[in-house]
Amino acid sequence: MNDADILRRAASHFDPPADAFERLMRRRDRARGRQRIAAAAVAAVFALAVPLMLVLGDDGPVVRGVDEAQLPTALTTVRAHGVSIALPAELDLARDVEEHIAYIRTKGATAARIADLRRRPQAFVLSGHTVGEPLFTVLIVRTPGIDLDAFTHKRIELAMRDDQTILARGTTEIDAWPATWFSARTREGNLRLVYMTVADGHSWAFRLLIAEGADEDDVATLADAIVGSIAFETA
Amino acid sequence: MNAIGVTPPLEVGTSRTVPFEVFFAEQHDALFRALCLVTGSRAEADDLSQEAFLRVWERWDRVSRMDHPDGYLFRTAMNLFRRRYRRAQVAAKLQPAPRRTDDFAEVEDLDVAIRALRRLTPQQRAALLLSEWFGYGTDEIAWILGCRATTVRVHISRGRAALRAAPDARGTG
Repeated sequence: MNDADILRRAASHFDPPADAFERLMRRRDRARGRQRIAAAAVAAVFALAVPLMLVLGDDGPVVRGVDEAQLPTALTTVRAHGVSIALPAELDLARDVEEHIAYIRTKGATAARIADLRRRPQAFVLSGHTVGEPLFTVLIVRTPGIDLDAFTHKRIELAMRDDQTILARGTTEIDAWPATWFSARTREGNLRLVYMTVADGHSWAFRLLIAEGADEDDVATLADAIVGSIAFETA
Repeated sequence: MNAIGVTPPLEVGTSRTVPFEVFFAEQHDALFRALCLVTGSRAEADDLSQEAFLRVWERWDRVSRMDHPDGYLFRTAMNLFRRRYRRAQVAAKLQPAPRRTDDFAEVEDLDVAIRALRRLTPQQRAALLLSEWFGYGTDEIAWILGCRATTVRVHISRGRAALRAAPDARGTG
């Protein structure tokens, strides 16, 4: 009898359990259940952390809520240079915009300047948001549509209103969307661009924090400053 | 199939993609029995084999394309065992009055070979089993056990010596 036979004979004393695969499936189900619970716990922590950070991380007076009655009717389609641009409803950002659009600027130099720069029709959308304080989004959509998966995020302190003067600032790279969200807070009396989103070199989205009391002209002036900065950056 | 209904791992699973259920059916008994001999505990072997299969199942898309998914399974099981064995050793050291225990002593003491294997370390048992029973080469065992080939050779040599030293091991049993 060789070594292998000896080992086989020894192993033959151990009969494998008959229901091994069924127990394995139950074990897998339990493991997946634990993973789901862990994921839910992480999500819950983040969900609790967001409002907490909005309150604790503020460096200025918190302006809560926005007067929905003052916001213009939400629109989902814009026209620029005679081209209709529908906001893609399946995209989160687009839905966000769709729900909180304040107004759309298609007149004047804004859209035209962008279009001239990029040599393609684009729309310029401002939208309000109601997370903690009035938050306006400026979304520039290029005609063929946007792919938000291709977006990269940049923090940008591009324009700030100081004594009715719009100041242009430079851009700063950031790693993550939430970091910008929480790091740049509005200050009373100031308009401050929170972040800029860039898609494949042709599309951009801006999100603005706008202090309570800022009127349409403030936003429009700021938007013009942003567009001017784009022209400067990409020229 | 061999005499005890176990298909040696090296003869299956090479460069073919099979459903996980088939792989499980082919490999479970072999792994379970090998772990019984390595750990000396039927319960421990059952738990380790379940955990090893679970981990392989989670990665089956990748593992099934390996040349030796069975080797990966054994390696996973042995890594799990080594981790538990280390933790058990640490825990034993932390006991104020350490109880001298040997899991292997709890195995049904039905065979002289089991008594002979009891004198080996788990690593030596595993190397001996993988070599003599499953037919793995030294390099493959080294990969599975996560040690050097020279160490594997030493383990196997000592294992063989232990088996031969058992007076009744080569008898009729």
